[in-house]
Amino acid sequence: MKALLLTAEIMVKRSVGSIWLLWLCGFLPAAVAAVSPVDTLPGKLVSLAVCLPGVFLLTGWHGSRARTGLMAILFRTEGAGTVRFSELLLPTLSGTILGAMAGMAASFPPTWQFWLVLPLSAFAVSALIDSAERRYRYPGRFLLGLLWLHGASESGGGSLLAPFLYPGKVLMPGEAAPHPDSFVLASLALAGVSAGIYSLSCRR
Amino acid sequence: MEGPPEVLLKFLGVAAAVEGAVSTDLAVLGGTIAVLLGEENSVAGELAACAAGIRSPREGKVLVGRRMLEASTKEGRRASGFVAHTVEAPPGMTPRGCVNLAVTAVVKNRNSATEKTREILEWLDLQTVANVPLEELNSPEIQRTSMAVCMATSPELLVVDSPIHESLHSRLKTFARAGNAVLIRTSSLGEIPEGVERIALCDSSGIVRVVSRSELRGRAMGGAEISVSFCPSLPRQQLETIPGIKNLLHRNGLYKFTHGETAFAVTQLMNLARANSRAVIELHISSMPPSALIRLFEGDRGRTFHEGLFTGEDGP
Repeated sequence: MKALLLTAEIMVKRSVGSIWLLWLCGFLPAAVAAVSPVDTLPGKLVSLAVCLPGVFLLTGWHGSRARTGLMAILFRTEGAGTVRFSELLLPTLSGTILGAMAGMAASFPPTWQFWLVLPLSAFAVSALIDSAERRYRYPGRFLLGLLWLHGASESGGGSLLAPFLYPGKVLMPGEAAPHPDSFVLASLALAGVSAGIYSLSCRR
Repeated sequence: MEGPPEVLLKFLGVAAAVEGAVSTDLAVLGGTIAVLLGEENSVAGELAACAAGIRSPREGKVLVGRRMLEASTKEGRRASGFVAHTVEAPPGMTPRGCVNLAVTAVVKNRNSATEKTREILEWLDLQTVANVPLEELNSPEIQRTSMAVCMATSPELLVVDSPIHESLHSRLKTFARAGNAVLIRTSSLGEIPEGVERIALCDSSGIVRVVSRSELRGRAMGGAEISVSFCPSLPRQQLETIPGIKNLLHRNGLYKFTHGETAFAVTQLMNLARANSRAVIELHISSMPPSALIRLFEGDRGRTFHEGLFTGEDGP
Protein backbone atom coordinates (compact mmCIF):
# COMPACT_ATOMS: atom_id res chain seq x y z
CA MET A 1 0.00 0.00 0.00
CA LYS A 2 2.83 2.37 0.88
CA ALA A 3 4.54 1.72 -2.45
CA LEU A 4 1.21 2.31 -4.22
CA LEU A 5 0.53 5.65 -2.55
CA LEU A 6 4.14 6.79 -2.75
CA THR A 7 4.27 6.04 -6.48
CA ALA A 8 1.09 8.04 -7.02
CA GLU A 9 2.44 10.94 -4.96
CA ILE A 10 5.78 10.93 -6.80
CA MET A 11 4.07 10.73 -10.21
CA VAL A 12 1.90 13.75 -9.44
CA LYS A 13 4.81 15.72 -7.93
CA ARG A 14 7.00 15.03 -10.96
CA SER A 15 4.32 16.10 -13.44
CA VAL A 16 3.31 19.19 -11.50
CA GLY A 17 6.96 20.17 -11.30
CA SER A 18 7.34 19.96 -15.07
CA ILE A 19 6.52 23.33 -16.66
CA TRP A 20 6.23 21.97 -20.19
CA LEU A 21 3.80 19.23 -19.14
CA LEU A 22 1.61 21.88 -17.50
CA TRP A 23 1.78 23.97 -20.66
CA LEU A 24 0.99 20.93 -22.81
CA CYS A 25 -2.07 20.06 -20.75
CA GLY A 26 -3.29 23.65 -20.90
CA PHE A 27 -2.56 23.96 -24.60
CA LEU A 28 -4.33 20.76 -25.71
CA PRO A 29 -7.88 21.71 -24.63
CA ALA A 30 -7.37 25.24 -25.97
CA ALA A 31 -6.14 23.90 -29.33
CA VAL A 32 -9.05 21.46 -29.59
CA ALA A 33 -11.51 24.22 -28.73
CA ALA A 34 -9.98 26.51 -31.34
CA VAL A 35 -10.12 24.07 -34.24
CA SER A 36 -13.30 22.06 -33.54
CA PRO A 37 -16.78 22.91 -34.79
CA VAL A 38 -19.10 23.90 -31.95
CA ASP A 39 -21.34 20.84 -32.26
CA THR A 40 -18.49 18.30 -31.81
CA LEU A 41 -16.55 20.31 -29.24
CA PRO A 42 -18.15 18.90 -26.03
CA GLY A 43 -17.53 15.31 -27.18
CA LYS A 44 -13.90 16.04 -27.96
CA LEU A 45 -13.38 17.78 -24.65
CA VAL A 46 -14.87 14.78 -22.81
CA SER A 47 -12.48 12.48 -24.68
CA LEU A 48 -9.63 14.81 -23.91
CA ALA A 49 -10.57 14.76 -20.21
CA VAL A 50 -10.17 10.96 -20.28
CA CYS A 51 -6.77 11.13 -22.04
CA LEU A 52 -5.21 14.12 -20.31
CA PRO A 53 -4.38 12.47 -16.95
CA GLY A 54 -2.56 9.70 -18.81
CA VAL A 55 -0.65 12.20 -20.93
CA PHE A 56 0.09 14.36 -17.91
CA LEU A 57 1.25 11.58 -15.59
CA LEU A 58 2.93 9.17 -17.99
CA THR A 59 4.75 11.43 -20.46
CA GLY A 60 8.43 11.06 -19.60
CA TRP A 61 7.67 8.99 -16.50
CA HIS A 62 9.48 5.85 -17.62
CA GLY A 63 12.76 7.63 -18.22
CA SER A 64 12.51 9.77 -15.10
CA ARG A 65 14.88 9.61 -12.14
CA ALA A 66 11.86 9.26 -9.86
CA ARG A 67 10.73 6.00 -11.47
CA THR A 68 14.24 4.61 -11.85
CA GLY A 69 14.87 5.33 -8.18
CA LEU A 70 11.64 3.72 -7.02
CA MET A 71 12.30 0.61 -9.10
CA ALA A 72 15.89 0.42 -7.85
CA ILE A 73 14.79 0.53 -4.20
CA LEU A 74 12.09 -2.06 -4.78
CA PHE A 75 14.11 -4.19 -7.24
CA ARG A 76 14.46 -7.08 -4.79
CA THR A 77 10.93 -6.97 -3.38
CA GLU A 78 7.33 -7.48 -4.45
CA GLY A 79 7.04 -3.70 -4.47
CA ALA A 80 8.29 -3.40 -8.06
CA GLY A 81 4.99 -4.93 -9.23
CA THR A 82 3.08 -2.47 -7.05
CA VAL A 83 4.82 0.45 -8.79
CA ARG A 84 3.76 -0.94 -12.20
CA PHE A 85 0.21 -1.41 -10.94
CA SER A 86 0.11 2.09 -9.49
CA GLU A 87 1.36 3.77 -12.66
CA LEU A 88 -1.50 2.15 -14.55
CA LEU A 89 -4.14 2.62 -11.86
CA LEU A 90 -3.58 6.33 -11.21
CA PRO A 91 -4.10 7.59 -14.79
CA THR A 92 -7.01 5.19 -15.25
CA LEU A 93 -8.75 6.39 -12.10
CA SER A 94 -8.09 10.06 -12.68
CA GLY A 95 -9.09 9.76 -16.34
CA THR A 96 -12.33 8.08 -15.32
CA ILE A 97 -13.15 10.70 -12.71
CA LEU A 98 -12.24 13.66 -14.92
CA GLY A 99 -14.07 12.09 -17.86
CA ALA A 100 -17.18 11.50 -15.72
CA MET A 101 -17.21 15.12 -14.58
CA ALA A 102 -16.73 16.39 -18.13
CA GLY A 103 -19.37 13.96 -19.42
CA MET A 104 -21.95 15.08 -16.89
CA ALA A 105 -21.21 18.70 -17.71
CA ALA A 106 -21.54 18.04 -21.45
CA SER A 107 -24.71 15.98 -21.43
CA PHE A 108 -26.78 15.27 -18.35
CA PRO A 109 -27.66 12.52 -17.68
CA PRO A 110 -25.05 10.58 -19.68
CA THR A 111 -26.23 7.39 -21.41
CA TRP A 112 -25.62 4.00 -19.82
CA GLN A 113 -23.13 3.18 -22.60
CA PHE A 114 -21.03 6.13 -21.49
CA TRP A 115 -20.58 4.67 -17.99
CA LEU A 116 -19.31 1.42 -19.48
CA VAL A 117 -17.13 2.95 -22.15
CA LEU A 118 -15.58 5.53 -19.82
CA PRO A 119 -13.50 3.29 -17.46
CA LEU A 120 -12.65 0.84 -20.23
CA SER A 121 -11.39 3.66 -22.45
CA ALA A 122 -9.51 5.28 -19.58
CA PHE A 123 -7.81 1.95 -18.89
CA ALA A 124 -7.05 1.34 -22.57
CA VAL A 125 -5.66 4.83 -23.05
CA SER A 126 -3.47 4.57 -19.94
CA ALA A 127 -2.19 1.13 -20.95
CA LEU A 128 -1.41 2.32 -24.48
CA ILE A 129 0.37 5.47 -23.34
CA ASP A 130 2.27 3.47 -20.72
CA SER A 131 3.34 0.85 -23.28
CA ALA A 132 4.33 3.48 -25.84
CA GLU A 133 6.32 5.40 -23.22
CA ARG A 134 7.99 2.23 -21.98
CA ARG A 135 9.03 0.92 -25.40
CA TYR A 136 9.15 3.77 -27.89
CA ARG A 137 9.01 7.04 -25.97
CA TYR A 138 9.12 9.83 -28.62
CA PRO A 139 7.95 7.78 -31.64
CA GLY A 140 5.23 6.31 -29.39
CA ARG A 141 3.97 9.73 -28.33
CA PHE A 142 3.99 10.87 -31.95
CA LEU A 143 2.00 7.84 -33.14
CA LEU A 144 -0.60 8.16 -30.39
CA GLY A 145 -0.94 11.87 -31.17
CA LEU A 146 -1.49 11.08 -34.84
CA LEU A 147 -4.10 8.46 -33.95
CA TRP A 148 -5.93 10.99 -31.81
CA LEU A 149 -5.90 13.59 -34.59
CA HIS A 150 -7.05 11.00 -37.12
CA GLY A 151 -9.97 9.98 -34.92
CA ALA A 152 -10.87 13.57 -34.14
CA SER A 153 -11.05 14.41 -37.82
CA GLU A 154 -13.06 11.28 -38.76
CA SER A 155 -16.76 11.04 -38.72
CA GLY A 156 -18.59 7.75 -39.19
CA GLY A 157 -17.12 4.25 -38.78
CA GLY A 158 -13.53 5.48 -38.78
CA SER A 159 -13.99 6.82 -35.25
CA LEU A 160 -13.97 3.22 -33.99
CA LEU A 161 -10.26 3.18 -34.79
CA ALA A 162 -9.53 5.95 -32.31
CA PRO A 163 -10.01 4.57 -28.79
CA PHE A 164 -9.18 7.94 -27.25
CA LEU A 165 -12.43 9.38 -28.58
CA TYR A 166 -14.90 6.67 -27.51
CA PRO A 167 -16.33 8.46 -24.47
CA GLY A 168 -17.00 11.63 -26.46
CA LYS A 169 -18.47 9.74 -29.41
CA VAL A 170 -20.84 7.82 -27.14
CA LEU A 171 -22.09 11.06 -25.65
CA MET A 172 -22.26 13.02 -28.93
CA PRO A 173 -22.58 10.39 -31.67
CA GLY A 174 -23.05 12.82 -34.58
CA GLU A 175 -24.86 12.01 -37.82
CA ALA A 176 -22.90 9.18 -39.43
CA ALA A 177 -21.39 7.75 -36.23
CA PRO A 178 -21.90 4.07 -35.35
CA HIS A 179 -24.51 3.14 -32.74
CA PRO A 180 -23.29 3.76 -29.15
CA ASP A 181 -23.58 0.01 -28.43
CA SER A 182 -20.82 -0.68 -30.94
CA PHE A 183 -18.53 1.58 -28.87
CA VAL A 184 -19.26 -0.57 -25.81
CA LEU A 185 -18.18 -3.69 -27.70
CA ALA A 186 -15.22 -1.91 -29.25
CA SER A 187 -14.03 -0.55 -25.90
CA LEU A 188 -14.28 -4.05 -24.38
CA ALA A 189 -12.18 -5.46 -27.20
CA LEU A 190 -9.82 -2.53 -27.01
CA ALA A 191 -9.32 -2.95 -23.25
CA GLY A 192 -8.34 -6.57 -23.90
CA VAL A 193 -5.95 -5.64 -26.69
CA SER A 194 -4.39 -2.83 -24.63
CA ALA A 195 -3.92 -5.17 -21.68
CA GLY A 196 -2.16 -7.60 -24.03
CA ILE A 197 0.08 -4.88 -25.44
CA TYR A 198 0.81 -3.65 -21.93
CA SER A 199 1.80 -7.08 -20.62
CA LEU A 200 3.96 -7.69 -23.70
CA SER A 201 5.72 -4.37 -23.20
CA CYS A 202 6.36 -5.25 -19.55
CA ARG A 203 7.78 -8.64 -20.44
CA ARG A 204 10.13 -7.50 -23.20
CA MET B 1 26.76 -28.59 17.53
CA GLU B 2 26.95 -26.24 14.58
CA GLY B 3 26.95 -27.84 11.16
CA PRO B 4 29.50 -27.15 8.45
CA PRO B 5 29.19 -23.76 6.76
CA GLU B 6 26.77 -23.71 3.87
CA VAL B 7 27.64 -22.60 0.37
CA LEU B 8 25.76 -19.34 -0.26
CA LEU B 9 27.04 -18.50 -3.73
CA LYS B 10 27.95 -20.78 -6.59
CA PHE B 11 29.13 -19.97 -10.07
CA LEU B 12 28.67 -23.09 -12.17
CA GLY B 13 30.34 -23.04 -15.57
CA VAL B 14 29.87 -19.27 -15.88
CA ALA B 15 31.65 -17.78 -18.86
CA ALA B 16 32.11 -14.08 -19.56
CA ALA B 17 30.73 -12.53 -22.71
CA VAL B 18 34.14 -12.34 -24.42
CA GLU B 19 36.01 -14.49 -26.89
CA GLY B 20 38.22 -17.11 -25.27
CA ALA B 21 36.35 -16.83 -21.97
CA VAL B 22 37.18 -19.45 -19.37
CA SER B 23 34.36 -21.34 -17.70
CA THR B 24 34.29 -20.39 -14.03
CA ASP B 25 33.30 -22.57 -11.08
CA LEU B 26 33.40 -20.81 -7.76
CA ALA B 27 31.68 -21.17 -4.42
CA VAL B 28 31.54 -18.82 -1.45
CA LEU B 29 30.76 -20.24 1.96
CA GLY B 30 28.50 -18.71 4.56
CA GLY B 31 30.44 -16.84 7.25
CA THR B 32 33.17 -15.76 4.85
CA ILE B 33 34.19 -12.70 2.86
CA ALA B 34 35.55 -13.31 -0.64
CA VAL B 35 36.96 -10.87 -3.16
CA LEU B 36 36.87 -10.65 -6.93
CA LEU B 37 40.01 -8.71 -7.77
CA GLY B 38 40.39 -7.54 -11.34
CA GLU B 39 40.87 -4.47 -13.48
CA GLU B 40 37.99 -2.62 -15.13
CA ASN B 41 38.17 -4.79 -18.26
CA SER B 42 38.20 -8.04 -16.27
CA VAL B 43 35.28 -10.35 -15.60
CA ALA B 44 35.17 -9.33 -11.92
CA GLY B 45 32.49 -6.71 -12.52
CA GLU B 46 30.42 -9.05 -14.65
CA LEU B 47 30.65 -11.89 -12.11
CA ALA B 48 29.67 -9.51 -9.30
CA ALA B 49 26.67 -8.29 -11.32
CA CYS B 50 25.62 -11.90 -11.96
CA ALA B 51 25.94 -12.74 -8.25
CA ALA B 52 23.80 -9.72 -7.37
CA GLY B 53 21.13 -10.82 -9.86
CA ILE B 54 21.52 -7.64 -11.91
CA ARG B 55 22.67 -9.57 -14.95
CA SER B 56 22.25 -13.14 -16.18
CA PRO B 57 25.35 -15.05 -17.20
CA ARG B 58 25.73 -15.75 -20.92
CA GLU B 59 26.58 -19.34 -20.07
CA GLY B 60 26.27 -21.40 -16.90
CA LYS B 61 24.40 -20.75 -13.68
CA VAL B 62 24.77 -18.52 -10.65
CA LEU B 63 23.05 -19.88 -7.55
CA VAL B 64 22.58 -17.89 -4.35
CA GLY B 65 21.30 -18.36 -0.82
CA ARG B 66 20.71 -21.44 1.28
CA ARG B 67 18.05 -22.62 -1.14
CA MET B 68 20.49 -22.26 -4.07
CA LEU B 69 18.14 -20.16 -6.19
CA GLU B 70 19.13 -18.74 -9.54
CA ALA B 71 20.48 -15.28 -8.80
CA SER B 72 18.57 -13.44 -11.52
CA THR B 73 15.13 -14.83 -10.57
CA LYS B 74 12.71 -12.94 -8.32
CA GLU B 75 13.36 -15.28 -5.38
CA GLY B 76 17.10 -15.29 -6.01
CA ARG B 77 17.27 -11.51 -6.00
CA ARG B 78 15.65 -11.50 -2.58
CA ALA B 79 18.48 -13.65 -1.21
CA SER B 80 21.15 -11.17 -2.26
CA GLY B 81 21.89 -7.47 -2.05
CA PHE B 82 24.16 -5.09 -3.92
CA VAL B 83 25.94 -2.34 -2.01
CA ALA B 84 26.95 0.44 -4.39
CA HIS B 85 28.37 3.96 -4.13
CA THR B 86 25.14 5.54 -5.19
CA VAL B 87 21.55 5.08 -4.14
CA GLU B 88 19.11 5.49 -6.96
CA ALA B 89 16.06 7.12 -5.46
CA PRO B 90 13.40 9.67 -6.36
CA PRO B 91 14.53 13.28 -5.81
CA GLY B 92 14.27 14.42 -2.20
CA MET B 93 14.10 10.92 -0.75
CA THR B 94 15.77 10.40 2.65
CA PRO B 95 17.58 7.33 4.04
CA ARG B 96 14.58 6.65 6.29
CA GLY B 97 12.22 6.94 3.31
CA CYS B 98 14.29 4.57 1.19
CA VAL B 99 14.71 1.95 3.90
CA ASN B 100 11.09 2.19 5.03
CA LEU B 101 9.84 1.81 1.46
CA ALA B 102 11.95 -1.31 0.94
CA VAL B 103 10.99 -2.72 4.34
CA THR B 104 7.24 -2.15 3.90
CA ALA B 105 7.42 -4.01 0.61
CA VAL B 106 8.69 -7.04 2.55
CA VAL B 107 7.13 -6.71 6.01
CA LYS B 108 3.38 -6.24 5.82
CA ASN B 109 2.76 -5.27 9.45
CA ARG B 110 3.16 -1.51 9.84
CA ASN B 111 4.59 -1.58 13.38
CA SER B 112 7.07 -4.31 12.53
CA ALA B 113 8.13 -2.36 9.45
CA THR B 114 8.74 0.78 11.49
CA GLU B 115 10.69 -1.21 14.07
CA LYS B 116 12.81 -2.96 11.43
CA THR B 117 13.52 0.37 9.71
CA ARG B 118 14.64 1.86 13.01
CA GLU B 119 16.89 -1.13 13.76
CA ILE B 120 18.55 -1.01 10.33
CA LEU B 121 19.17 2.74 10.53
CA GLU B 122 20.56 2.36 14.04
CA TRP B 123 22.84 -0.55 13.09
CA LEU B 124 24.28 1.43 10.20
CA ASP B 125 24.59 4.59 12.27
CA LEU B 126 22.24 6.53 10.05
CA GLN B 127 19.83 7.94 12.66
CA THR B 128 21.36 11.39 12.61
CA VAL B 129 20.96 11.72 8.83
CA ALA B 130 17.80 9.62 8.55
CA ASN B 131 15.68 12.58 7.47
CA VAL B 132 18.26 14.35 5.32
CA PRO B 133 17.72 14.15 1.53
CA LEU B 134 20.15 11.77 -0.16
CA GLU B 135 21.48 14.63 -2.30
CA GLU B 136 22.98 16.18 0.84
CA LEU B 137 24.71 13.07 2.19
CA ASN B 138 28.43 12.36 1.90
CA SER B 139 29.78 9.26 0.21
CA PRO B 140 30.20 7.02 3.32
CA GLU B 141 26.60 7.83 4.33
CA ILE B 142 25.39 7.04 0.81
CA GLN B 143 27.19 3.69 0.91
CA ARG B 144 25.69 2.90 4.30
CA THR B 145 22.25 3.87 2.98
CA SER B 146 22.78 1.52 0.05
CA MET B 147 23.57 -1.26 2.51
CA ALA B 148 20.57 -0.30 4.64
CA VAL B 149 18.24 -0.68 1.65
CA CYS B 150 19.78 -4.11 0.98
CA MET B 151 19.21 -5.18 4.59
CA ALA B 152 15.45 -4.68 4.16
CA THR B 153 15.13 -8.08 2.46
CA SER B 154 17.42 -9.79 5.02
CA PRO B 155 19.81 -11.09 2.37
CA GLU B 156 22.13 -14.06 2.80
CA LEU B 157 24.69 -12.69 0.36
CA LEU B 158 25.94 -9.14 -0.04
CA VAL B 159 27.81 -8.10 -3.15
CA VAL B 160 29.82 -4.96 -2.44
CA ASP B 161 31.47 -2.63 -4.92
CA SER B 162 34.70 -1.12 -3.64
CA PRO B 163 36.14 1.23 -2.48
CA ILE B 164 34.42 0.39 0.76
CA HIS B 165 34.36 3.07 3.39
CA GLU B 166 35.94 2.10 6.70
CA SER B 167 32.66 2.52 8.55
CA LEU B 168 31.29 -0.46 6.64
CA HIS B 169 34.17 -2.87 7.33
CA SER B 170 33.00 -3.89 10.79
CA ARG B 171 29.38 -4.18 9.59
CA LEU B 172 30.38 -6.47 6.75
CA LYS B 173 32.33 -8.63 9.19
CA THR B 174 29.36 -8.79 11.56
CA PHE B 175 27.10 -9.66 8.64
CA ALA B 176 29.45 -12.48 7.57
CA ARG B 177 29.88 -13.74 11.14
CA ALA B 178 26.11 -14.24 11.32
CA GLY B 179 26.51 -17.03 8.76
CA ASN B 180 26.05 -14.91 5.66
CA ALA B 181 28.47 -14.37 2.79
CA VAL B 182 30.06 -11.22 1.39
CA LEU B 183 31.52 -10.88 -2.09
CA ILE B 184 33.60 -7.78 -2.74
CA ARG B 185 34.44 -6.58 -6.21
CA THR B 186 37.56 -4.45 -6.36
CA SER B 187 40.27 -3.38 -8.76
CA SER B 188 42.97 -2.63 -6.21
CA LEU B 189 44.73 -4.74 -3.62
CA GLY B 190 44.82 -1.75 -1.30
CA GLU B 191 41.02 -1.59 -1.15
CA ILE B 192 40.59 -5.08 0.28
CA PRO B 193 39.42 -4.81 3.88
CA GLU B 194 40.75 -6.88 6.76
CA GLY B 195 38.98 -10.16 7.41
CA VAL B 196 38.90 -11.30 3.79
CA GLU B 197 39.61 -15.01 3.49
CA ARG B 198 39.89 -15.65 -0.23
CA ILE B 199 40.79 -13.50 -3.22
CA ALA B 200 39.92 -14.51 -6.77
CA LEU B 201 42.26 -12.89 -9.28
CA CYS B 202 40.37 -12.12 -12.49
CA ASP B 203 41.44 -11.12 -15.95
CA SER B 204 39.32 -10.51 -19.04
CA SER B 205 38.80 -14.23 -19.69
CA GLY B 206 37.82 -15.44 -16.24
CA ILE B 207 39.13 -16.26 -12.77
CA VAL B 208 42.85 -16.96 -13.10
CA ARG B 209 43.65 -18.07 -9.60
CA VAL B 210 42.15 -18.11 -6.13
CA VAL B 211 44.51 -17.32 -3.31
CA SER B 212 44.34 -16.65 0.38
CA ARG B 213 45.16 -13.19 1.60
CA SER B 214 48.37 -14.38 3.27
CA GLU B 215 49.48 -16.20 0.12
CA LEU B 216 48.97 -13.06 -1.93
CA ARG B 217 50.84 -10.95 0.60
CA GLY B 218 53.68 -13.46 0.58
CA ARG B 219 53.99 -13.31 -3.20
CA ALA B 220 53.56 -9.57 -3.49
CA MET B 221 56.09 -9.09 -0.63
CA GLY B 222 55.35 -5.43 -0.13
CA GLY B 223 55.48 -4.87 -3.84
CA ALA B 224 53.97 -1.83 -5.47
CA GLU B 225 53.37 0.01 -8.68
CA ILE B 226 55.66 3.03 -8.87
CA SER B 227 55.31 6.07 -11.11
CA VAL B 228 58.25 8.43 -11.34
CA SER B 229 59.40 11.31 -13.51
CA PHE B 230 62.75 13.10 -13.61
CA CYS B 231 63.83 16.57 -14.63
CA PRO B 232 65.47 16.55 -17.11
CA SER B 233 64.12 13.19 -18.30
CA LEU B 234 66.24 10.08 -17.78
CA PRO B 235 66.82 7.53 -20.59
CA ARG B 236 64.87 4.30 -20.27
CA GLN B 237 68.06 2.21 -20.27
CA GLN B 238 69.02 3.77 -16.96
CA LEU B 239 65.86 2.53 -15.27
CA GLU B 240 66.24 -0.91 -16.78
CA THR B 241 69.40 -1.30 -14.72
CA ILE B 242 67.37 -1.41 -11.48
CA PRO B 243 67.38 -5.09 -10.39
CA GLY B 244 63.89 -6.65 -10.14
CA ILE B 245 62.10 -3.97 -12.18
CA LYS B 246 59.03 -5.26 -14.06
CA ASN B 247 56.46 -3.98 -16.55
CA LEU B 248 58.34 -0.77 -17.26
CA LEU B 249 56.31 1.72 -19.27
CA HIS B 250 57.36 5.18 -20.44
CA ARG B 251 54.85 7.83 -21.47
CA ASN B 252 55.34 11.61 -21.70
CA GLY B 253 58.35 11.56 -19.40
CA LEU B 254 56.59 9.46 -16.77
CA TYR B 255 57.93 5.99 -15.98
CA LYS B 256 55.61 3.38 -14.54
CA PHE B 257 56.76 -0.02 -13.28
CA THR B 258 56.14 -2.66 -10.67
CA HIS B 259 58.68 -3.89 -8.17
CA GLY B 260 58.61 -6.59 -5.52
CA GLU B 261 60.46 -4.49 -2.95
CA THR B 262 59.20 -0.96 -2.77
CA ALA B 263 61.84 0.45 -0.42
CA PHE B 264 64.70 -0.97 -2.51
CA ALA B 265 63.18 0.40 -5.74
CA VAL B 266 62.75 3.90 -4.28
CA THR B 267 66.36 3.90 -2.99
CA GLN B 268 67.57 2.84 -6.45
CA LEU B 269 65.55 5.63 -8.08
CA MET B 270 67.06 8.24 -5.79
CA ASN B 271 70.58 6.91 -6.43
CA LEU B 272 69.95 7.01 -10.18
CA ALA B 273 68.71 10.58 -10.00
CA ARG B 274 71.72 11.68 -7.96
CA ALA B 275 74.24 9.85 -10.16
CA ASN B 276 72.78 11.44 -13.29
CA SER B 277 72.22 14.92 -11.82
CA ARG B 278 68.48 14.67 -12.17
CA ALA B 279 65.69 15.76 -9.82
CA VAL B 280 62.77 13.48 -9.02
CA ILE B 281 59.76 15.70 -9.69
CA GLU B 282 57.00 13.14 -9.30
CA LEU B 283 56.83 9.90 -7.33
CA HIS B 284 53.68 7.88 -6.75
CA ILE B 285 53.53 4.55 -5.03
CA SER B 286 50.37 2.50 -5.25
CA SER B 287 49.50 -1.11 -4.58
CA MET B 288 50.20 -3.58 -7.38
CA PRO B 289 47.56 -3.65 -10.10
CA PRO B 290 45.69 -6.95 -10.53
CA SER B 291 47.43 -7.67 -13.84
CA ALA B 292 50.81 -7.55 -12.09
CA LEU B 293 49.52 -9.75 -9.28
CA ILE B 294 48.29 -12.27 -11.83
CA ARG B 295 51.75 -12.34 -13.39
CA LEU B 296 53.16 -13.32 -9.99
CA PHE B 297 51.14 -16.51 -10.24
CA GLU B 298 51.88 -17.18 -13.90
CA GLY B 299 52.31 -20.86 -14.59
CA ASP B 300 49.78 -21.72 -11.89
CA ARG B 301 46.81 -21.20 -14.22
CA GLY B 302 44.54 -24.19 -14.35
CA ARG B 303 45.65 -25.52 -10.99
CA THR B 304 43.03 -26.96 -8.72
CA PHE B 305 41.31 -24.35 -6.63
CA HIS B 306 41.22 -24.43 -2.88
CA GLU B 307 39.27 -27.34 -1.58
CA GLY B 308 36.04 -26.42 0.15
CA LEU B 309 35.80 -23.02 -1.43
CA PHE B 310 35.84 -23.87 -5.10
CA THR B 311 33.80 -26.65 -6.43
CA GLY B 312 32.75 -28.17 -9.65
CA GLU B 313 29.29 -29.23 -10.77
CA ASP B 314 29.30 -32.09 -8.25
CA GLY B 315 29.41 -29.84 -5.21
CA PRO B 316 32.06 -29.16 -2.59
